[in-house]
Amino acid sequence: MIGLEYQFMQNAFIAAILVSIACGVVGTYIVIKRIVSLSGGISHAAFGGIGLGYFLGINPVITAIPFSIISAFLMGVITRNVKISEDTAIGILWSVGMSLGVIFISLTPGYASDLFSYLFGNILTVTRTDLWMMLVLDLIIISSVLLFNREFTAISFDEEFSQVIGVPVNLFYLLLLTLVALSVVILIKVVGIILVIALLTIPAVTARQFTFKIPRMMILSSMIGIIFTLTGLWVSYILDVSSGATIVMILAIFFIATYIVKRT
Amino acid sequence: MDKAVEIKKLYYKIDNKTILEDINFEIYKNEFLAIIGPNGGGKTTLLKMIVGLLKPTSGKIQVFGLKPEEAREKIGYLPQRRHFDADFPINVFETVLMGCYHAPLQGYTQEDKEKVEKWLERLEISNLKDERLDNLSGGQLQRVFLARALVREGELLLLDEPTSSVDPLFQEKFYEILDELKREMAIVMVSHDIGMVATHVDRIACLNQRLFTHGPPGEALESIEDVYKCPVELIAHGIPHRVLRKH
Ligand SMILES: Nc1ncnc2c1ncn2[C@@H]1O[C@H](COP(=O)(O)OP(=O)(O)OP(=O)(O)O)[C@@H](O)[C@H]1O
Ligand SMILES: [Mg+2]
Repeated sequence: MIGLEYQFMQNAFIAAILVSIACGVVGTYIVIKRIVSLSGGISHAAFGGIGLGYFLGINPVITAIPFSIISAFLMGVITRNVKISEDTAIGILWSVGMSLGVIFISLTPGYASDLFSYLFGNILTVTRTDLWMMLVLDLIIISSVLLFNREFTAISFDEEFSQVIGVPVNLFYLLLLTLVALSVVILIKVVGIILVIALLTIPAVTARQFTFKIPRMMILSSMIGIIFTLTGLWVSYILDVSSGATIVMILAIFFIATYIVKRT
Repeated sequence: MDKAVEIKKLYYKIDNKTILEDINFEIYKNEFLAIIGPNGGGKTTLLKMIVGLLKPTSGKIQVFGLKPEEAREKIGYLPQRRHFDADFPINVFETVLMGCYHAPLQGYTQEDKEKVEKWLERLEISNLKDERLDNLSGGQLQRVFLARALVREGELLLLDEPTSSVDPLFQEKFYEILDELKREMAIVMVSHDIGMVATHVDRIACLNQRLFTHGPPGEALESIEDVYKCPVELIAHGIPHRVLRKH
């Protein structure tokens, strides 16, 4: 009834699940460590990687991986060590990354097909190869968190004290930003660079209203993500509108509704 | 005797402004040292150097013969200002358990959890162990962070204004705990509570850019009595040097 007999709908269905896991897990840290705008910066800077892919004639999502990891590291190092405020540094890196993307694309001969779907996402264009890549990145994220949740939690809570008790703070901060970069890559095809930050924050902040335990927050926000990306997918299919934007709108409406219900 | 901390010719400057100047002192195991001094005198800065959060501009700091950052297992630390989000999803028990941290890939043990229970009990906050931090009062929160420092059961305890915001009844209890802990470790405490300090500690140091220590308890008490009669600035040792006769 919702077109599951088509290969692209099956792919979209699996993609919705895979992205929601990344969002639930990494989004939880993004929200509790308050690195939302930094993560937004990383995702926009990743557009440079997309442009590079067009320029080199290879899958832009592949070039986005090293590019977003490098921009995550730059964000991490510059916001810590350079004497300008964090939000200024984020603003600069964000726009430099996007400009690089635009330059690469304008240097590429011919029409940049699918560009719109990298910016705003199109879950229906997800291929089998994309799914495998998402799966691998999800596994990297999940295993990092299983191994290092203690450290990620400690540095999110209190960096100074973490340093005193011997947590390698800078190392784990950069590792956390790397996980953010990987989640951005997973999400690009589904919601696009511009809307990535919505999926990395809305499910987590919604889940936070219902639980005060980090692991539960991760699981709950993954579930919220799965339910509402699938709902969004279905609604967008019926109404024939952009899937990425529909998913974001539905998540936002659900968040607002739960917020109001919780406060009254 | 075991030397817990050794500081020699320590200087600390930020942008050419001297914060600490020619600091020299030693702390031994089983010793309880109090650091007093005016606001901005550099007390917090000095403690941060002993835990390795700040690096001296010049001079030497050793903790149990090691660099501060190599001695972290042995140090319990209560910061004066705490950088955290009260809304963070963590409860009292988990906060204190963090104080037991070992190393990456090494989880908390059953023993760690028992130590947390023990310290919550001793600081009389067992009933709060499942509470969220944003539901606590200022004094309750202070006790939680004290527990986080004490649970480490290290050999050196650094406390930056531990009794600010806790009630007098608990303060008395807390000093009893410190008297007991002193048998196994060295304690350095920054405090403005000069009355309490005088009756419980072995040695008092006044810090205002430069550091002066006051000898055995009798003598210290005397100078503290002097201090009591005078405004705080009289215990200042900065430049210009306005000090007590004792120096
Ligand atoms: N990051 C910084 N940049 C510039 N100056 C600083 C910085 N941190 C501290 N200072 C200065 O160092 C001096 C010592 O500060 P410190 O916090 O160590 O004082 P304190 O003795 O702990 O005071 P209080 O009793 O108020 O806690 C102050 O004059 C302060 O202005
Ligand atoms: Mg201070």
